[in-house]
Amino acid sequence: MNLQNLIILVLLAAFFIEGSIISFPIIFLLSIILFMLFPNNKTFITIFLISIIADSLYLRPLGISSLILFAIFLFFNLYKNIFEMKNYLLIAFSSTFFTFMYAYFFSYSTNIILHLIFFIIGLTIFYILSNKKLLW
Amino acid sequence: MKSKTNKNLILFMLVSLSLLAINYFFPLKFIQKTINNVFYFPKSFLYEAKAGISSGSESEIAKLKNENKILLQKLNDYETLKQDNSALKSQFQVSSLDSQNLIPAKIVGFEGPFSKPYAFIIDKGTNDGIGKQMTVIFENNLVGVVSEVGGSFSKVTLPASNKFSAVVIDRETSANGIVYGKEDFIFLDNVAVTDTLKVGDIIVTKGEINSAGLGVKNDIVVGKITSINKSDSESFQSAKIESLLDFSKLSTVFLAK
Repeated sequence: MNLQNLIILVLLAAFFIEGSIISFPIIFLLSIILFMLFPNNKTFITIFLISIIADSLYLRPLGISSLILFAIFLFFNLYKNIFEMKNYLLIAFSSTFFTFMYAYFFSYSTNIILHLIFFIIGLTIFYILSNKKLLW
Repeated sequence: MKSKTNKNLILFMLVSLSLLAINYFFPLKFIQKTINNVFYFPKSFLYEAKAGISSGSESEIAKLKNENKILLQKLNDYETLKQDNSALKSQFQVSSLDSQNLIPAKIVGFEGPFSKPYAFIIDKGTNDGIGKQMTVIFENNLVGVVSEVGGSFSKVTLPASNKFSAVVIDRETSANGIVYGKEDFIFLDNVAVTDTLKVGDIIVTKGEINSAGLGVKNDIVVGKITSINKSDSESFQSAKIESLLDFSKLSTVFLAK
């Protein structure tokens, strides 16, 4: 199984964890990681479908999560094209910032410690991927 | 390549926006219903496990870990039924509302911190006769108000949410006020300084039923006063309220028709 399929599988598993066990936008964060690694059509379609399911489960208007995610991806992509951004630190910081904002607006837990833990995990993942030249 | 990615991203944004617009005018309830039905069982099971409601069955599972999966499943089903039964029993013994007008619902998810959630997702929707603004209770205590309704699931906004407000009355002194959610606590405001509030007083809902018969029912316990903020220079006094319920331990709630 390749890395992209593995992350998609983890994304599917996140449906059961998010909102039942932990109040953290895991799906949102994993979608950003998936985009950072594989910015292709398969990723876009997967994220679109997964966002629709997430919206349904949380009784949000269908399409709101995917709209936000694709707007963020567009921001990342434009920023990367203009500034040739490949800094994993910047990616980790901005991902954490967007995740926190998403958590705030969609009533997830905004516990700083929880977000800090996920930031450290994200930072480690982005650092490893950056070293392996897998990030974008 | 770069511009192709940008074009695709814009395309997906437009598709999402279209879906949002369609959903605004013609709510796609059938999609929600199908997805909710698929995810209902695992989410409900995981929530109960997290809430510690099935702690009895968990310890038995530990003892019986060498037993086969079918036996474990039967045990879990039995525990779930037992909890439902005791919840129903206690509800019908305590509630002042007519038992026939109560719809039991299981909690399948939550929003906000687990110890003090802002909202619950419950397994009842329009198919079960649930409507917006219905009161959700547990043992005559206010759990919240239905704020979003899907085909099979609904969202209940809890008193701690900053989207929550209700007209209330002090049961002991009859002082009127409005409660708001402040995320960490429930805030009682707009109580005239001439009215009396005491620490420990029980605050109940005053009732806000609209012409359609929906809204917050009267005489439902919101909580008790834990501290009071009163100043003679101000025309209103306020107080902090603590719910008598431990929201993190709830797994079944009741909707008042």
